[in-house]
Amino acid sequence: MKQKHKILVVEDEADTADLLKHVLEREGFSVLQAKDGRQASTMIGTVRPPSLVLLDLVVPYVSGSELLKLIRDHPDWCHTPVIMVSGDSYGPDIQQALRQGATAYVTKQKGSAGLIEAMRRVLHPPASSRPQPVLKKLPKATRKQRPSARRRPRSSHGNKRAA
Amino acid sequence: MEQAPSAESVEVVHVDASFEPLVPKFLTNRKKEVVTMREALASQDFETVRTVAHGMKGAGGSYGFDRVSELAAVIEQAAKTRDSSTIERDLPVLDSYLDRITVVYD
Repeated sequence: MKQKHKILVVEDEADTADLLKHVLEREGFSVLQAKDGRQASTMIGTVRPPSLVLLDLVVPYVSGSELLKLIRDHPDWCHTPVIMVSGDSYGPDIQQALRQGATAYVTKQKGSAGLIEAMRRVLHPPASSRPQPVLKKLPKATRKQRPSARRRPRSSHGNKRAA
Repeated sequence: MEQAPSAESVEVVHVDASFEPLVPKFLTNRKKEVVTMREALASQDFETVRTVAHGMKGAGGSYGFDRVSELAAVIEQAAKTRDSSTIERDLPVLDSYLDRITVVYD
């Protein structure tokens, strides 16, 4: 049986957190939530790394930027893809997040469809961006079902993009 | 005397049908936040206005209520510069907009 990707959602705005949980579960992901930076930082030290982190840039107690640094400095979590999610689309903030190790940056104005699209790109990168294009010969349907996270290179967060 | 919204003033917002269970709470909470911001403005608490408006900006975008997000962004920016006249002008616009929303789930 195919195992669900576990997604850690760090989001303090309750309605947005509810929506993300709803959308992600509908899309077949398993969801772990942290409502502020303090909860998230505790998780980073105590639970197994998820498949991906959706990290709000502005959260109470420990900021998104600080959490990103904690993730990148943690031996078990350091290769976990992190998508920064923000209500702001200020260019320097986006560039800074990507420099600090964010895998992608998505603005909330893009809605849930934009976020899911970015997640799919991160979790299932196109074959052309993988180091070993062994999946090229497989039929499309089979390729979609492959657990691509296992094939992700150790530096998967290096494939950076702003959405 | 306040008039009931006319048919022309209804604001139709199309939302993903699967969001239907979440939207009533979303709209109720935005109305509460307008009250919170109004009270904060009365005491010149611009930080609270900014924080609440920032959250509303993101939530509005996430749910597909783009106009809510736009108005919240203007209020957030005004709060950053302690521009009370802009907030006084746009909070009632936001409040009225929220009252006029008719959601179509599709």
